[in-house]
Amino acid sequence: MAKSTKKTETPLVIDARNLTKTYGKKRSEHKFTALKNVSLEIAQGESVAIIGKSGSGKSTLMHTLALLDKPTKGELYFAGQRIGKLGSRGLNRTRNRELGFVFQQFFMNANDTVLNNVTLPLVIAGRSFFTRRRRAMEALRAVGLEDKAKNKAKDLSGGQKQRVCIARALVNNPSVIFADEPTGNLDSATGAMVEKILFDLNRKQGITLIIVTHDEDIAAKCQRQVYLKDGEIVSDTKKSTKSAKTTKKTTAKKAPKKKTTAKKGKK
Amino acid sequence: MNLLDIIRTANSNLFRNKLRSLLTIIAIFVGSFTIILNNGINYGVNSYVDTQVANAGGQGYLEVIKTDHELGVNIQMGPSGPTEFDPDATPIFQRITQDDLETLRGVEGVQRAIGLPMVSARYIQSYENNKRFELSLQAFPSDRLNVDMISGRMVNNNRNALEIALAPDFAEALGYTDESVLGRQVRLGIRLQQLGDTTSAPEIIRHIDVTVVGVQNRSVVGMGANFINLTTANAIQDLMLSEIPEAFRPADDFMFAIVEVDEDATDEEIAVIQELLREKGFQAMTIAEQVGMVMSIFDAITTILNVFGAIALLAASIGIVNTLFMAVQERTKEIGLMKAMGLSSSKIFLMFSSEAIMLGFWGSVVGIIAASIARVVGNNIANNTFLADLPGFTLIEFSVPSTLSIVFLIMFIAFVAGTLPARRAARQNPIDALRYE
Ligand SMILES: Nc1ncnc2c1ncn2[C@@H]1O[C@H](COP(=O)(O)OP(=O)(O)OP(=O)(O)O)[C@@H](O)[C@H]1O
Ligand SMILES: [Mg+2]
Repeated sequence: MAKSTKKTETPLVIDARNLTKTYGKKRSEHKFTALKNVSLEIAQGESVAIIGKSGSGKSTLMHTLALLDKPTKGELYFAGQRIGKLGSRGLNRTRNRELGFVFQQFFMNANDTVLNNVTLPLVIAGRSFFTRRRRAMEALRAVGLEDKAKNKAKDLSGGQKQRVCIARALVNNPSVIFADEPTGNLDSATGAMVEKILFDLNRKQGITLIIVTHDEDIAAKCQRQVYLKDGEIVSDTKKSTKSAKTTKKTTAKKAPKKKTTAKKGKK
Repeated sequence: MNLLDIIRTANSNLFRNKLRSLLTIIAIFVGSFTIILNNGINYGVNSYVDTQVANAGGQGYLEVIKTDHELGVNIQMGPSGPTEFDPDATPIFQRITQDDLETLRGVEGVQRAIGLPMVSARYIQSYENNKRFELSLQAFPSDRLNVDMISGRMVNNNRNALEIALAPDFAEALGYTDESVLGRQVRLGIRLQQLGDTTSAPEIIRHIDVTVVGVQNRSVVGMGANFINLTTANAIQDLMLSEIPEAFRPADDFMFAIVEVDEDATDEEIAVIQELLREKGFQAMTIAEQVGMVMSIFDAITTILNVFGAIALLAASIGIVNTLFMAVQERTKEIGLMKAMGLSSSKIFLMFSSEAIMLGFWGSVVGIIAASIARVVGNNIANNTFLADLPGFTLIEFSVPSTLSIVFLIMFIAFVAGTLPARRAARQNPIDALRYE
């Protein structure tokens, strides 16, 4: 219960303090610092774009924030909990229940059905057969692909594949969705459709959205743009004129929902 | 992820690269088939012999020969090859004299000791159809032995009547049925022994009439012989020697003697009596020991075949390691994804281990199926050829517990082989795995 009190004090879903990530052995010549003293606070329901040139450390930052990788230095809090203290069970649990992932290269089991791909997080969570089906169908409906449930994943188009991945990211009701270049492999029309789905989720369900991208247009649709250069944050702009309106909307929606808190209470 | 999901995933992963899995399964199958079939034969033979030995009775029954040598499978062999002839040493086999029988009777625990006369007849002749048939004739050693009968009873050694228990098929050949032959007289043609060179002399045949008291079923104890009681055996022996003058008759001694001890004697008590007999220069063996001597050779063959099976399995487990390493390599991204989604390392380990166990499982299932087919075919061939005269002998028989334990053993071996690749999979870092090209 101490956790939930802490959460009310810190209504941040992600709180990164002075993250440094160095690849390679400490003294080795090949060592490379991909993140330098990065601090970032992200509130529940925000949409954040991480922008920068290739090699600037975007993916590295995302992986660290998504608890997939440990920072070399610095501290990371997720929903008020210090990640260093979580242990591998806690980490797995948090990733499974609180986070959703969408990757540029999709990462699906091509020979499996769409439905089975979407249920994977629920299977890992150990949900019952019926919950799996129901929630997966809901998620597929949310991305407009219910009629493809029985198809093999490899038979889908690129845009459909990415929508299946979004459904998969969505299926366990996460509080944050991380998307690494989600439209990178798509043409602009299908990319726009995928974008729309992601932003709708952010707006309507209050899911925090963290998008890694090259694309200034997508970045502009986010409430917040974090620019990375050589592993450092060079600018962090909130509420661009275009998203100022959406911010209001989101905060209005977000307040009564209090997603993370509600979920924690359920468990 | 619960256990069922893990097993289901492992199983479906197995069918993803069908050819590779199939080849590994075939490798396991070679080993499992060899071992399962081999044990099936061993079980079939052993259970037949066991029932035969159990049916043969023989409690408190010992067959005795007189020798100073340790009995081995091949009696003439010493520890280092054939025993050199020594004119001062006693021969390997000595005949058992009437005095010896007295000595045997004097041993503590021995209730009865008799010499078994060796007799033979030239033919058996029917009064019904007058046909004559060759036959092997044996004195029935002891009523402690049970011989399965089709009709009637076994001959009784305590009776003075001349009795015979026919071997299977004889009743019909003699013109009767197995039932109608009971109580009938049959004629035995006995060839008399003559002095001197008898090869050119005409045979002298005398007849002796005996009463049929029963017809035997086929059995290991019976071995297809026609049994007569001791009264008949002695009468035949007297008849055989009747042409030889008293002075030239061979001594009244025997190759074998039968010793009976308490029917309820335990194995330990019998061992004590055997030791007492050994001290006096006799080797005594129970039915089980005689059978055991043959069975020990058979068991050795089984063991060797099992070693071949084990070697095949060893090769197969290297195949499992190889297959799974390839699978881990192929599925690097998938493993990364599942880990990113919160699947624990221990479950990844379990998933790949289950895959290995599945390979073992399917390999042994295919082995069981193939062995079952081999069993039907093999038994069919055996029953029509070399086992035709031994009804109730199924050459290949499977025992459920031993087959199951072979399956579990193979699954365990597969698991052990799988731990190496499974550990590599479990140790993968999700990020490295996702970035893997
Ligand atoms: N495992 C690693 N070992 C060594 N260096 C690494 C490793 N992963 C990433 N790097 C380096 O860290 C830097 C940042 O990489 P990162 O993948 O975060 O870049 P990015 O901003 O996502 O680039 P892109 O837009 O091309 O995806 C790069 O210079 C890369 O070479
Ligand atoms: Mg990147």
